[in-house]
Amino acid sequence: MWVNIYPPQPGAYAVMPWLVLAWCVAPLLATMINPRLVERVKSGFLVSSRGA
Amino acid sequence: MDSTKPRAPIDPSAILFEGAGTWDAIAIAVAGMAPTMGMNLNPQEPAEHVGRVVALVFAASGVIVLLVAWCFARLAREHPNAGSAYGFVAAILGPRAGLVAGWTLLGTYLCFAMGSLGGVGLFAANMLTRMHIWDGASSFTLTMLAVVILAPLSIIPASRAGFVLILLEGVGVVAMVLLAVAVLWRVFEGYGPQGDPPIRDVFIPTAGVGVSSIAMGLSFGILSFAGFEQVATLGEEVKTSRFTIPRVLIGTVIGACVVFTLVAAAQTLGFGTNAAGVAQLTASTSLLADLSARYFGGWAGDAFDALAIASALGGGLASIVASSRILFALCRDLAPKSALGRVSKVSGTPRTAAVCIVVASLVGYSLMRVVFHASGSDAFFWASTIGALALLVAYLLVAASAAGTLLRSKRPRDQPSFRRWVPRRSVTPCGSTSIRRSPELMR
Repeated sequence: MWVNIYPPQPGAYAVMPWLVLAWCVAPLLATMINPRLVERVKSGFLVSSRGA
Repeated sequence: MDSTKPRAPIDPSAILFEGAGTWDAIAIAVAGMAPTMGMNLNPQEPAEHVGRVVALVFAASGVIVLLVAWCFARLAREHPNAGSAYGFVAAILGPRAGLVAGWTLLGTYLCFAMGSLGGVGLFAANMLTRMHIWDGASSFTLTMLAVVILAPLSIIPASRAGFVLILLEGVGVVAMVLLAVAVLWRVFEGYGPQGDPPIRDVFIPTAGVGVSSIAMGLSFGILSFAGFEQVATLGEEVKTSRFTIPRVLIGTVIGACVVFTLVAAAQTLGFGTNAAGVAQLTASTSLLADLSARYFGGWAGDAFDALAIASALGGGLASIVASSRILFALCRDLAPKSALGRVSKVSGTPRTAAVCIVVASLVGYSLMRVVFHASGSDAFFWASTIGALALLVAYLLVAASAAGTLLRSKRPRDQPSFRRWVPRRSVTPCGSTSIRRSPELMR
């Protein structure tokens, strides 16, 4: 991360860390907008398969 | 979660076909790194910072990556699943963190798929132009051709895809090792650029190469291993995955560390450890091809260019397979009725998710080329850089989860040494409570 973010990169490379940040934050925003997503993960396949 | 609550029966269409073996797992892990393509393009970057000690950097990077591999191996043993980091992190740090990890890793592999497909087009265009088979060959057209080749391979069972990957990557790795041994042999016989082979130079930095330069070199060295963890997405397809996948993860990194160090040493000694040799190494756009052409003639250079194309093709296939499993695992939980969360009855693979990933790769690559006017080389490096950045976030979450498993483990041998000495009650109020409570969400 240090290599790619510090110092600021030229051209398109300056935008990339922000693109990645936006991509990583997207699921958090999605769970804030739709809290049922969290419940679906909690009761998802991994849990079902453990109980089977 | 209430353990007395009756659980819904598992939908058979949500279960992947468990038919992949150990060799298929090894093939996905090795192809994920695209080692032949990597050793063609990666050593130049660390060499710019550390000079002649590239081999030392690769050896040290391997040791660091081994720690990451251990984190994946530990979690793959306890929570084998098709979502890899999604399932690992959700089980330890909670659903939100799991979603971030899964989504981030999905983005990483999608970028790697775009980069690899772009790499096929880029390398093939360069080779065809140089050999005067197709003057001014279009890397865009060749990338589209690569997509057409890979699309059917990405929807077949992992065991068959593994066979294709063994062919694509296995030949390249064996040829690369043979080349390294042959070059070292020639150098030791006195046919190298410097008469007396200065072996110790490969491990002793020149004056002026400090800790900062080594750290920069290490970051590029570590990213050369990126992709080995793609095998963790086969957690529901490999037979006895709890046993096989952790061993494949660790074994692949150790093997890659040995191969990368050997090849980097051959490249450094082959070009020369003096300033002129290092300058030639850093200026090369195709290291293996240039090295083999230098010692064994132009035909060998063309052969290694072809192997790098095959390696990029294998890397693309492995990335598509891995990202389709993560997309499938996410959709299976978040949108169970969606076709993306279902397994094909014919192939036993998440066919719809794989097609979606192929289309997304195609659209992403085309956007870079057409909308953002990227050259073939730009598209390759843009996708690789974004993927590498996102991968570091996923690694961080997986490492935190692996640390969480250690803290909550009840087996004495799995606990860090301080936990054996400090009574459990005195540790819990000091901060491990939240980490120890989160796994309950997944139980």
